[in-house]
Amino acid sequence: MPVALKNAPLRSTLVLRQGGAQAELCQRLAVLGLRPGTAFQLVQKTSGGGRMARIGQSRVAIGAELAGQLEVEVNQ
Amino acid sequence: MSERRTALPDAAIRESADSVSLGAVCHCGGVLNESAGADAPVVALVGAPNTGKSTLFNALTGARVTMGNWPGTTVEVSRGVWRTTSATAVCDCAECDCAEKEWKLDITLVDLPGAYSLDPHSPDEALTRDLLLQVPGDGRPDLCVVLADSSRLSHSLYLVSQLREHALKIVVALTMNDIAARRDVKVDVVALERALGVPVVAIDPRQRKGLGPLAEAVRSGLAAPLPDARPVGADPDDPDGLDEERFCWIAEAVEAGTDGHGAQHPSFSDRIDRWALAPFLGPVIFLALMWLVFQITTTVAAPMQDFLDELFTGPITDGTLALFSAVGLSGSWVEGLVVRGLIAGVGMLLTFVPLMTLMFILLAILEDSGYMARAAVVVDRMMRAIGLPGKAFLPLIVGFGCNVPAISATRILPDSRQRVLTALLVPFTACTARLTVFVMVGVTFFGQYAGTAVFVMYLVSIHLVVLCGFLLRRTLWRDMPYDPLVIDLPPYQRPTLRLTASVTWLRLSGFLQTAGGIIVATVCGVWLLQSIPVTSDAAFGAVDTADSAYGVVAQAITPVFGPTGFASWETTSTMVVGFVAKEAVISAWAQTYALDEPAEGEAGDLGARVFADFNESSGGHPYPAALAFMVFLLAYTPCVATLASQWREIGAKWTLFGVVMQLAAAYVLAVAVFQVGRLFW
Ligand SMILES: Nc1nc2c(ncn2[C@@H]2O[C@H](COP(=O)(O)OP(=O)(O)O)[C@@H](O)[C@H]2O)c(=O)[nH]1
Ligand SMILES: [Mg+2]
Repeated sequence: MPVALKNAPLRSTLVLRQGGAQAELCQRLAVLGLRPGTAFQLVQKTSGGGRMARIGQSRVAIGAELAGQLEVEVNQ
Repeated sequence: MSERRTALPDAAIRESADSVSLGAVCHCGGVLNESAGADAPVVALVGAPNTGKSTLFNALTGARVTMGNWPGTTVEVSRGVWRTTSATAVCDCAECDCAEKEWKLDITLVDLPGAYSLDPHSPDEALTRDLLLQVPGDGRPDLCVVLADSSRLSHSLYLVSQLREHALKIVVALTMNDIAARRDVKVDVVALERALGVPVVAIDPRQRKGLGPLAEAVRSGLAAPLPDARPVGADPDDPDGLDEERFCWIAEAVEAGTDGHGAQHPSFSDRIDRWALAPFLGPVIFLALMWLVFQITTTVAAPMQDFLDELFTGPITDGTLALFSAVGLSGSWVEGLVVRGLIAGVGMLLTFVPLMTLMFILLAILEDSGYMARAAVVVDRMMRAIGLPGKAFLPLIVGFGCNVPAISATRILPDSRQRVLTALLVPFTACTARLTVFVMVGVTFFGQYAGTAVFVMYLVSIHLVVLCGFLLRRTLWRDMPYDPLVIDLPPYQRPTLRLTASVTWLRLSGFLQTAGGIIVATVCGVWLLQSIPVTSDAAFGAVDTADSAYGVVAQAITPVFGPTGFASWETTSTMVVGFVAKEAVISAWAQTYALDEPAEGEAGDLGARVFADFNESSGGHPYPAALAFMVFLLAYTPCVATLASQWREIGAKWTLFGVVMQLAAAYVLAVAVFQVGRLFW
C-alpha cells in the first residue's frame, strides 16, 4: 500500500514509487540513490518535519515538503 | 577587481588551436609568474558537491590562484597553476635543459562548481555543462578530472557516465578513501578502471596524498589521443531509457570496483545526528553554535579591531604628521592625502582583518567538520518561509555583527542565485557599527526610551530582510525553480589545521585584494572632495568642509530629504560620511558642529545641537524625524567595505542594484515614518 514518505514508519524497508516528483527532481534523487525500485530506510525525523534516509552507505536528508510529495511502498 | 574577473577565462578558453598538441610546448624552464601561460593545457576539476574539488584545487595550486566569478555570471570559478614534474618527457626540443626524470609541465587548473549531472538545474551546473560540452573544441578544457567520493561511489559516477558519452579525456580521482576504509568498503582501482574505461587514481586531497600519481595520469591522458565516446545502448531521445542504461552501467562499475557492503550498525555520525538533527534539540544546538560564531566575530575581534584603529589614528597618524612637519609640509595637501586619505583608508581596511580572519576560520571549521550540511537541514523550514535555503541563515546572523564578513559568508551557498539574493539582503541586518549611532540618536531624542527605540530598529531590520527577500523572490527571481531539500550528509570529521589555515588565507587574501582598492580609493575620494574649495577662496586642502565640493554636494542633496524631516545640511553631510563607514557618523557630526565627540551612551552638547537642528528641519516634530533618520541609517548602504565585499562576491552590477534598492527602501521608509509620525507626535 503506497504512503507518503512522511507517513512511512521509521526503520522499515521502503521502496520509492514512480512519479510524485518532477522529472528534474527525479534525476537528482536518482543520483543520490533514491530510484524507483531501490530499497532504503528512514533513520530519523529531522527538525522542521523532514526525514533522514539511509540509502546503502549514504545518509540523505529530505525536507518536509519533499517528504510529503514522495510516495513509497512499505515492505514489512 | 574587474580585471581579475575578466582575467579568468583567458586560459580556460584558449584561442590557439595547435596548443593542444603538447609535444610542441617546452616547460622545462619552469614558469615564474602566476599564470601557466596561454598555451598551457587546461584541466578542469568537476564532480558532485562535497567530493573534495576545492580541497584538491588548493592542494595542487597552492597560492597561485585567481578566485572570482565567471564573467557575466555570479558563478564562482577558481583558476590556478598546477606545476607538475614527471619522469616522462613532454617535449623533444633540442634546447631542453631539464634534468632527467624532472620534466616540468605547468597546467592551468580550473575548479568548476559542483554538479551531480550534466543536466543543468542551476546556473552553476549550466556553466559546467557549457564549458565541457557546448564551447567549441578549442575552448574546452583539454582534460577533466572527475572527483568521485569512494565512500558513496554510485553518487559520483552519474556525471562520469554522462561525460563518457562524449569524446572527452577523463581521469577519475577517488577521494574520501579514508572514510570508505573506515566503513570497510574496499575499492579495487584496477577493476574500476576497467569498468569505467578511464584511468582511476586514489587520492586524499586533505592529506595531500596521491597527488604524484594523479599528475602522472593527467599528463599521460593529455599526451594520449582523444578517447572514443562510450556507446550507449539506448535511444538518446528517450530520457528514461537513457537513465536506466546509465544506472545499469554505474551499478556494474560499482559492483566490479568495490568490495564489502560497509558497516550497517549506526556510525559515529549517525549517533551525533540523532541529537544534531533532532526536532527540538537540533535548533537549540544550532542556535548555540550561531551564538558562538556571533560572539567570536564581535567580541573577540573587537579589541583587535580597536587596537588597529587606535594604532592608525594614534601613533601612525601622529608619527606621519611629525614627519611632515619635520620636512616643512605640515598642513599641506600632501599631508592631507597621506594622513586623511591613504593612512585612514588602509587603517580602515586593516581593522577588518581580525574580523574576516576569524569569520573565515569559523566557516572553514563548520564546513570541514560536516556541520554546515546539518545546519542547512535544521533551519531549512524556517528559512524557506522567506524563500531562502537553510544555509543562508549563517550570513544573515553574522550580518548583525558586521556585514562585511557576512557577505563573504554567502560563499557557502551552493547556488549562485541564492548567493546574490542573500548578499543583497545582508546589508539590511543592523550591524554593530549602526548600533552606536542608534544609541547616540536614541539617547538624544528618546532619553529613557532609547533602549526601546534601538530595539525597534532591530525589529525593522529583521522585517526588512524578510520583506525584501519576499519581494525579490516575487519579482526578479520569480523563475527560480522550486528547489526542495535533498542533501547527502557527509560524515563528521575533525577539521584539519592545514586545510583551515589554507582556506582562510586564500579567502582573506582575496578579500584584501578586492576590497583594499575600493576602500582606500573611496576614503581618498572623500578626502579629495573635502579638499576642493568651491564657495571660498581658501587653498586646496585648507578649506572648511562646508565650503568644499563635499559641502556643496551635501547642500545640494539636502532638499531631497525635505519629506523625511531631517533635511539640514549638517545631517545629510553625516550621511555621506555614513556611506563610507557608519562608525564615522558621530565624529563627522561633531566635526560639522565643531564640537567634541560625546562619550559613549551620552548625548552631551552634540545631542543638544542635533536636537535643535532636527526640531527646526522637521517643523516641530523632532521625534518622528529622529525615528525616520534612524530608519534611513538602518536601510541605506552600510559602508564601502560592505560594497567592496559585495563587489567581490556578486559583481559590480548587482552591487549597484543593491545600492539603489537600499537607497529607495531607506527613503520610502523614512518618508513614511516621518509623515505618519508627525500626525500623532
Ligand atoms: N575525510 C576526507 N575528507 C575530505 C577528503 N577530500 C575532501 N574532504 C573534505 O570534504 C569536504 C568538502 O570538500 P570540498 O573541497 O569543499 O568539496 P567541493 O564541494 O567538491 O569543492 C571538506 O570538508 C574537505 O575537507 C578526503 O579525501 N577525505
Ligand atoms: Mg568547492
